[in-house]
Amino acid sequence: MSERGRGPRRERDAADLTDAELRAAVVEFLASEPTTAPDHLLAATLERRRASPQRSRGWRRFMAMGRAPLAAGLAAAVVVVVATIVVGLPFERNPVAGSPDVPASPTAGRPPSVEPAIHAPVRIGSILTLDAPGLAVATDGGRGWALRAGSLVPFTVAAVAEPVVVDLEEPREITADAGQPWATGAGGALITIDPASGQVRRIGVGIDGDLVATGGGTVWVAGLTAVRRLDVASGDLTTLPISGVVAMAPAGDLLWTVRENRTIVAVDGATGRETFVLPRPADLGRPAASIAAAGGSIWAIDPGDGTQVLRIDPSTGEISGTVALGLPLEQLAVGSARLWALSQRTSVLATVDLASLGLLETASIPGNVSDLDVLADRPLLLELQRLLVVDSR
Amino acid sequence: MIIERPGGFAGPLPPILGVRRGDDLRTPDVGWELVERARAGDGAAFDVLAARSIDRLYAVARRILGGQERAEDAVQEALLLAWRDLPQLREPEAWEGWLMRLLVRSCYREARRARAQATVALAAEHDRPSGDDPAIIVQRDEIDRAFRRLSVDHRAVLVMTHYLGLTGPQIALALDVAPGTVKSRLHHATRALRAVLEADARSRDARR
Repeated sequence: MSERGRGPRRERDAADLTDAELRAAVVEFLASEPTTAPDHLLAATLERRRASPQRSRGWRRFMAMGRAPLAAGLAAAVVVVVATIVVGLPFERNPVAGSPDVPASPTAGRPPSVEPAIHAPVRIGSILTLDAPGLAVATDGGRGWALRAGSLVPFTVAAVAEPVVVDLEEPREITADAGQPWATGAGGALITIDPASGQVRRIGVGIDGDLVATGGGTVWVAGLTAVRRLDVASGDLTTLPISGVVAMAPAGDLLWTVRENRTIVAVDGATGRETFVLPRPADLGRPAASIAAAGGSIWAIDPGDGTQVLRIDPSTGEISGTVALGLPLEQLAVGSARLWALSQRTSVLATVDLASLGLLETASIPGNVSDLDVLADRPLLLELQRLLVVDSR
Repeated sequence: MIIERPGGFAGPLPPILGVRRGDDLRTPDVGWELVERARAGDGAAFDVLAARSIDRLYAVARRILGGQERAEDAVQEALLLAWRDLPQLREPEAWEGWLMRLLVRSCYREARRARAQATVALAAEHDRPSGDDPAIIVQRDEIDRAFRRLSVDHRAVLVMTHYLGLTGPQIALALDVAPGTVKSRLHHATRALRAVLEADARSRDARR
């Protein structure tokens, strides 16, 4: 909470509330708003519904009817495409996307130069089922943990273990290193499971961690206005004076970050002092941020238009390669020889060869995948209550 | 045919709707056979679905858009789109999440129309309980004013999080964005709300 440098007031302003109090006040405010639709709304809606036709089941059925002229069909298709572009009608990434009857948009967001492609379905090697939706996953070699409300669920490629109950309000993010998961949530909590004893530890880090990253015996937790650094061995907590971090990955002594102004900045992992600042991209949009360190390089989604992967040399802070995928990307995961890029909006997983930066494969994935990681050097997808281990080239 | 609002699923909604944090959107209460029938063109089945969902949709639209009229327009548009496109819904059990996504998009369109018409309604209808502590009422009013000055993006993610209690992946589905975007949007929304509250407080101080 910031100070406004003013004198005492008679009552407490909403601006003076702590983060937790503000959250509670917002919940209370939202709960106080009306919850019942006016009676006339249902009647008016149903009246209009009765006058409205349903859309047919699609092109094949349309053609099977055998009575509609081809020209009309083509005209309808043009109208659908134009409507989708102009007003964003619900034809993109939804439960009907991918249906042969529906013009799903696997090429949405692509630059015009990229040829549209039909992606074969991803090859699923194994499926692990959770008994409740997972929020995020983290892996370390062949082991992983799914973060859920109230528990962490350990798993391997072969099986899901019993959930470990954790006291974590509003779980947000999870990472893992050296066989140890670290999860953040509201209330300034950082939760871990001791790899030796199996005991759950709760560490107060003082900020609500939206992001967490770990490596080399250090854990970084990024919140609204600061990054907290935990030395795992000593338990010492320090604050790095950096804010606006939307993605981060440690590599050696540096913590690589993507900032909300879409600049990639490497800071000293101990002090927060800036070491490298990449040129800020032109204002092309607000792509998702993802950054990873692997194979002696830093890999990031281009913070400009978000459709290509950048390879950055961590010793110079310069871009040493790019992979233009032509897909709106949301997440990266890096294995020993492959990089996987997830495009949730188009439900595509792209596989890139790390050595050549060549695109090896694009495959369609289920529409509700929400997280990507690497398990035993294979891509791992979190799909609400299922973990999909992909057989990748 | 008279459509009654059934109890339980609809009716007066609790402060936090039936979806709890961590729940799947695919609640069994909706009756998938109704979705199947409506998908096959059964208008009466759709009307029952609409009656069951309308309070929930209105509550969300009202919070995102602020005004009653715009919320009504958004709900009506979402339900009509749902009826029109229902034959293409491949998974009946995805009905709830799909309908919420249609509503959010309708809210976006409605907000865009409102901006184009330069009719931003900052004054809210205060049909709320009045028996609360005056200090709480003042604080709620401050949050109300600040909330209405947020962008639709920010209001939508706050409503999904703090009113519906949805999880990140569920919000991502409803807003049709990446889960990472949900996190950053919630972060920015909270910060924007605080910034507006602080600006309002400074303004009040200057007048005192």
